Amino acid sequence: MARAKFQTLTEPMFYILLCLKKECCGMEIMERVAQITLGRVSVGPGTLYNLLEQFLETGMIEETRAEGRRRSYCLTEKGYGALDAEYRRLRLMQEDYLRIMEEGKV
Amino acid sequence: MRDVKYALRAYSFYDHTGLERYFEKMASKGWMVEKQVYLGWRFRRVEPQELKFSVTYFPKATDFDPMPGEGQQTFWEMCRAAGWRLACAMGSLQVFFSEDPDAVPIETDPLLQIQNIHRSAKRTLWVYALFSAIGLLQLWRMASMLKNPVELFASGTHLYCGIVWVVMLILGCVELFAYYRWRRRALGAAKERGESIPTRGTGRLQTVCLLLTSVCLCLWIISVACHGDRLSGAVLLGYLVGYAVMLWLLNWIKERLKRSGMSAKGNFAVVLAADILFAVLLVSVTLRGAMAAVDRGFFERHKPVKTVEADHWIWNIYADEIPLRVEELTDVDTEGYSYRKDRQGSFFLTRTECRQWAPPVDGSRKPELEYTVVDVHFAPLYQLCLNSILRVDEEDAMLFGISWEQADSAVWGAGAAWQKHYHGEPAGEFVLCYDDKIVELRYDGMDLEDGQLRLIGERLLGHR
Repeated sequence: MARAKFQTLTEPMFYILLCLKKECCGMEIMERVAQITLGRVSVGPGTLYNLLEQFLETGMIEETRAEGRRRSYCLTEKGYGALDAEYRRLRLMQEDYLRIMEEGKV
Repeated sequence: MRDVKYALRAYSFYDHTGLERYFEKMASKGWMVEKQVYLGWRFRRVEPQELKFSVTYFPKATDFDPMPGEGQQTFWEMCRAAGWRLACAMGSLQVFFSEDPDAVPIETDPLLQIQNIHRSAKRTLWVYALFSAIGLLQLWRMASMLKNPVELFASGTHLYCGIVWVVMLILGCVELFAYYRWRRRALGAAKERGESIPTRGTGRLQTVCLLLTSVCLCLWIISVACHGDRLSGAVLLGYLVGYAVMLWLLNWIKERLKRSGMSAKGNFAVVLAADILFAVLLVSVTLRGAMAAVDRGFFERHKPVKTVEADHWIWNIYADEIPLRVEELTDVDTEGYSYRKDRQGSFFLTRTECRQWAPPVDGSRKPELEYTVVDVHFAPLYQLCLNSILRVDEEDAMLFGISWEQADSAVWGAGAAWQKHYHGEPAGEFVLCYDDKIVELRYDGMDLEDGQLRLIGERLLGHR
């Protein structure tokens, strides 16, 4: 069920995984998502905690370091795969959009 | 000046929006929520301030945790980093506040939020389902008792406890319905528009139900004190007191085990075992106590003055004061008669049953008199009661040819009168109506003249 859930990613999921290309702890993820998206997307701590738990359960990320309650995570191969699949899906959508729009112009 | 304040406020477990607005309002008045206390909340005095509250759910946390788990503390840490400070946490319910009105909300994914609420709700929903099931059972029991409204409304215990359970049924059903309706709408909004919709709980209804239950409880206690029915009253009072003590004890055990560091599962198992043990003890002790009290005659409103052996039976002889006696209607030797009166009632009606009879000591039977006076205090019940008294079972009608025929009411001084017939033959059984009274009368071994009937009317119907 969880696999099916992550076949397409929501914006917060996508950006959290994107941030975890580089080792990052929970608090840093919240800041980075806001930076990357120029404040367009914000991830609340509740949402972040739950998504990190689910990503860990499905093996998309792994815990790399724990200093007290400050835990750092990083993408796994599976996580890269999910992120890449989502990127390709979005690219395909973009290409479809451009093709249809340009057909209209001709 | 008090620094701590308790406020009664029932709430729906999923109503985070309602709770957030409530805590914000209290903070603006200078009261910061500190913890949940039974049906309300404890607040501590702070400087009045405009704060933003967020009520979230952490499904893994339970009321039995000896201390916040690692995950829960990490979650709090993340919230703190995002500008949210923990006000209090009770089980899975977590209350945070922020001084920054633009703080990023704790939950930014409505679907995840709904999932979390539902995972926490599963622990509460069964309680409402149980309330509904027991309430339904009581409703069915009360509906079957409506066939005999005099019996139902004369017993304060049956009536008020029945009402309380009906209130529980309404509460349970409304809460379940409201939760699932909100969940369906919230899922729709989250999936279609990625939006979260505010919750709307049933806190007000719960408060009304609580007040109604308290009023019923008071009425029931007054009714037991005023109208008898002491045995069932004592049993139920025993249950109520025992139940309150049991709840306090279970809570005490839970808190002690938490302090000792026992795991949540271990604590839950011990409390559950104690709960079952206490419940069995409560039932057996109350019932045994009631039976022992009955044996010792504690609930006997009128103890028999003596016992008589006749016709292979032992007969209790009573000497209660009854409003009309056989010897006032006919010339008879009063030796050996038993006079018994039983009274039961509520705010709706009072039923007084009187009987005068004599055991067949020498094989002969003396005239007998038996009557039940129903005083209806709540007028809309009058016709319902009268209809039930005059109703004849189909089986009785077939086997004994029983029917009620209208009789001359003037001779009794009654407003209306009916006489029972067996296979068309009139019997000494009457139903008399006058004002707010209904009298069921049966006499045997007497031929009564108009003057005596008039006397009966005067005594039992209370007219002049």
